[in-house]
Amino acid sequence: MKRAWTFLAIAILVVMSSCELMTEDPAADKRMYLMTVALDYEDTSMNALHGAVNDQDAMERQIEFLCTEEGCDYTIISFSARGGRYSRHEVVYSRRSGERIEYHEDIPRTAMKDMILAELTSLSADITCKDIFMFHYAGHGADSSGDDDRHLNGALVVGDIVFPEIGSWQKEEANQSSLITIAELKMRLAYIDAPRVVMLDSCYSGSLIGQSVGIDRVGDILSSIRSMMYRGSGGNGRYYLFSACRDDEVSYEDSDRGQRHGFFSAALLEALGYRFYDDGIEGPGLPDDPTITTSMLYERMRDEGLWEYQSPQMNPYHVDLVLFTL
Amino acid sequence: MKRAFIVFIMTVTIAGSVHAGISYTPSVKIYSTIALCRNLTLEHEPLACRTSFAMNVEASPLSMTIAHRHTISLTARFSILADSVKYMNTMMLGSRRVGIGVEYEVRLAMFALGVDIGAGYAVVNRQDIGYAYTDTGLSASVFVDDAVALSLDVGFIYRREYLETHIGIALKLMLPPSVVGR
Repeated sequence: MKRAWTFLAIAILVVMSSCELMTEDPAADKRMYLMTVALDYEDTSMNALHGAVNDQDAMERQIEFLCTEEGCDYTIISFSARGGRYSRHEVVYSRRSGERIEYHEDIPRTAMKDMILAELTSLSADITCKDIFMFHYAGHGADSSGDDDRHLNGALVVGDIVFPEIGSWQKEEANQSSLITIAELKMRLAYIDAPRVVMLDSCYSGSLIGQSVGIDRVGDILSSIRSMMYRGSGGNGRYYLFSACRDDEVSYEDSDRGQRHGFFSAALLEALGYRFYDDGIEGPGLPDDPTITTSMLYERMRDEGLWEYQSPQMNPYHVDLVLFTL
Repeated sequence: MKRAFIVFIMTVTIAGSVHAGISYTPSVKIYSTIALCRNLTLEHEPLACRTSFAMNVEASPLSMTIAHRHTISLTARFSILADSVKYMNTMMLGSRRVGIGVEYEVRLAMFALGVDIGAGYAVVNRQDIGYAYTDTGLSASVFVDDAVALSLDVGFIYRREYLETHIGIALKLMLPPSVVGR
């Protein structure tokens, strides 16, 4: 009996001393980057989306709040179109200096696409692998499911679209400067050497992801089990992608929460801890879980959202991105 | 030919149980391990290896001990792998696993050495994805008495993109040979 206890004591010592669990994390001083794009399409030929700019405001407030709570540096860059006025807004905060700098400028409406892409290129020079980059878009998504123009499906509509009397809008040269295709977006994001969270609240945004996991996937259990064997393999390239719907679906907005918001953005904001109170009052808040990760956001949206009309998607992977540790 | 083979096996089994002392010895094993999970792709992980913690329960309802020395068991396993430690803003998600395996153990006085091999399926936490895996392991046990053993376990789990090394301590509860069988 004494020999057995001696053996056990030696075994515990060997096991517990052979592994170093707590390594110093070089990403402790990360900078959070958020870039948001939202348009209300007030002065365009398309239907207005007032929820999109509300989503942008809420996302900026919530991320800034969470960064402040965590105590990390942050840079928030917003491109928006409100009532026909196109602008760029930037907020930069650094813990070292304790300074919070804000900058606002109006931009030409025709330069929106070029400035967004240029901003992504510029950020790729500043962002390091210790940082996290988040991109949020709320606005129209292009419907282009034909074989010739499939590359335009789900494109971000960042300007006005001309619908000719004869021919299709896809062939109109003028429209190309109002569309950021999924491929163009991914190409610019590829140069950012950090984990990237991309959130598209627009129609046909499932084009961003391709083979994906949907929140509304009910039905053939056997095929679901079979597909579970193959999804999440081959890496995710440090992309954590969220789309408001499948590539053949429309995404919606409503006023159920007082102010008008996109269904997807509202669910995402709630998962991040944003609070929607009665009488249209809303504001930043803390989530129940102090560790906010991309898988937690997906799980919250899946379990707590009511998805009757659209099926949000994400690209699942077994490495999770920790956005905030509060 | 097939019938003759079955009769032969049955005869050997029955004769063996009479002469060689085969007894039925089911057991339950509970153990916790520290898992060192190495990303085989080394592609998207800033760290080559992630550390996690696992809790495991292993039941061996079909287990027989031959000549009070050799034990062969068919095992059913359930384990929970926790999320790994956070590093560079990322962590490996844990999973819940179910598997089956075969274990062979040889007893030497109050000690025993074992080897096992198995396979199973796992579901990743919070994501609708899963993976199949195979595992193998070695164990060194010390018998506290006929029904209780403590062991040091080392296991290797191979799954998509990861090779996990598990090291842990187990508590094994057995039905003593005197209760059932000879």
